[in-house]
Order: sequence, then C-alpha cells, then structure tokens
Amino acid sequence: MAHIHLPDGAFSLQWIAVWWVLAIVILSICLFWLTRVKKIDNRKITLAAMCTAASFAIFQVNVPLFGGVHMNLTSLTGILVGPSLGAIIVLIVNILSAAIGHGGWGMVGANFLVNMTEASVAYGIYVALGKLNVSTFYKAATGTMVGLFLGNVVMIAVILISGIQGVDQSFTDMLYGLSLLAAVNMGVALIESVITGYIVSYIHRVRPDILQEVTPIAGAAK
Amino acid sequence: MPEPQNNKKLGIIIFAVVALIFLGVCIYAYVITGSQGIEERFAKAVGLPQESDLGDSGILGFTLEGNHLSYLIILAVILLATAIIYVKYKV
Repeated sequence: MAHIHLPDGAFSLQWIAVWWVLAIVILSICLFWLTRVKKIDNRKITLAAMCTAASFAIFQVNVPLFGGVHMNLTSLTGILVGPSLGAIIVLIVNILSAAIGHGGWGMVGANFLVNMTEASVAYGIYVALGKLNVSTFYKAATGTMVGLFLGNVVMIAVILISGIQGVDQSFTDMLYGLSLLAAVNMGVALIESVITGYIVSYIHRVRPDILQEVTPIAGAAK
Repeated sequence: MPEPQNNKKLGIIIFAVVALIFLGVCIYAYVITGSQGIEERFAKAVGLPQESDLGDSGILGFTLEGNHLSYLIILAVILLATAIIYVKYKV
C-alpha cells in the first residue's frame, strides 16, 4: 500500500545504490532461509504465484478514495506465504510495476524495503496474536493495519534520509507533507485490512491446512 | 475434541482501537489536504513540480497506472504461469 511514488532522478545515484544494496542483502537472507533452513514445498510455490498475480493486478489500480490511492496486498502475501517467500513476490511485483511505468526503476530497491516491512510486520503480528488465540479475521486485519502503518513510516524515513534532488523543500516541510500523505494512506489501510481479514478468515474456514503452516502454534491448539 | 473459544473480545478491542485511531488521523489529514491524486500528494509533499493529471476517468473512477497494454500482457503471462504451476503442483 505504501509506495514511493517518485520518478527516477528524485533520489541521487548514491542513495539509489544504498537502498538497492540493502534490498539485495535482505533478499539474500530470505533466499538463504528458503534454500538452506526452511525449504519451501511445491504447494507454497503455487500459493506464491497466486499472491504475485493478485498483488500485481490490484497494485496498478488507482482506487478513487481520498482523491486516489493504491492497494497492493503485501500484508496478505506476508501472512499467507511468510516474509521470506514474500520478499521474492515483493521484488517481482515492484520490478513488473516499474516495467509498465508505475514507479521509477531506481525506486525498486527502496520500495522493496517499504513493502518488505509491510509483509514482515503483518506476518509477525498475525503470528503473535495467534498465540493469544485471537480470531483469524482480527489477527489478520490488525497485522495488516500495523504492517501498512510501519510501511508508511519506512517510506517517510527513506525519503527523508535520501533527500530529493532539485527541490528546496525544508526537512520539516517534507516531514509534514509526507506525514499527511501517510495519514491519508491509513484510511485505505483500514479497507485493505478488512479485505485481508476476510480473505484470510475465508481460507482458514475452507483450507485451514494452508494457514496451519503459518501459525503452527495456534494450529496445534485446534 | 471441542474447539477452544477464540479470544474474540480481545481481537475486536485491539482492532477497533487501532482502526479508530487511523480513521481519525486519515479524516483529519484529508480535511487539511483536500482531494488529490497519489502522485499529486507526493509531488506536493516533497516539493516537486506538480503535473496536471488529465488522464482518463476510468471505470467508476477506477483507473490503471502505467501502460495499459503492458499491464494486460504481463498480467496474462502471470496468470498463465500461475495456472500452469497450479495444474502441476496444486495447493
């Protein structure tokens, strides 16, 4: 949901490189985890493909709320397939989005970090609330909302740290403007969290085995 | 074996508190900024020159970002790949 909507050239080359390097490091850790620690089975690959298609499809749609906003289902992706496989999906969706002209190529690394935060935090909260035996809808919805909020925080931090080339906006003005933007985004986060909550609770009802792999502790209690 | 009772009340309370805070903040920010597109909001926030958006109004206000043809081609390829993976591996 949070996405750095700036054209190529807004960040200096040095900062584009920094965010790309950070993204590659995180991606490498996720790939190491998937290949050496927790190997993925074929069913997860199918689920990941579905998440990629859904995320890419919905991300390009400008929703006419509050003047125009986007959803991208990264939190749903994180909850369903976990952050490590979610990292690959996030990268693919960001690259494909840049390929069709939605966001700059130089922003892919930074946007990967923003979306990765959403997926990881949503997953973490979902698992944590599962330990408190909170119902599936509420743990998925709350996880999504907090994940999207922190995604917005990372988005603001990345822009403020990088700075924007060729503008004379002060740090305070930029922080104020971006905070307002993030605040409007949170209204959409509320809608995305309800959608995610319904999708996850539906899957929990019809195919609980898929979610049991995500929350083995909560699953074992059932 | 009976299914354990979900901690529904706790879930509702946590979700409602977070949702109300974010909704309040969102409405407040929207009142201050007014109706703007996402690109316009970004440009204004960071001080970039704003381009007037004269694009199509889409279907019921829903519009597509980027190149529409590329979007459809890439989406078709992803869906085809997903279908092939599904047939091969199932879920």
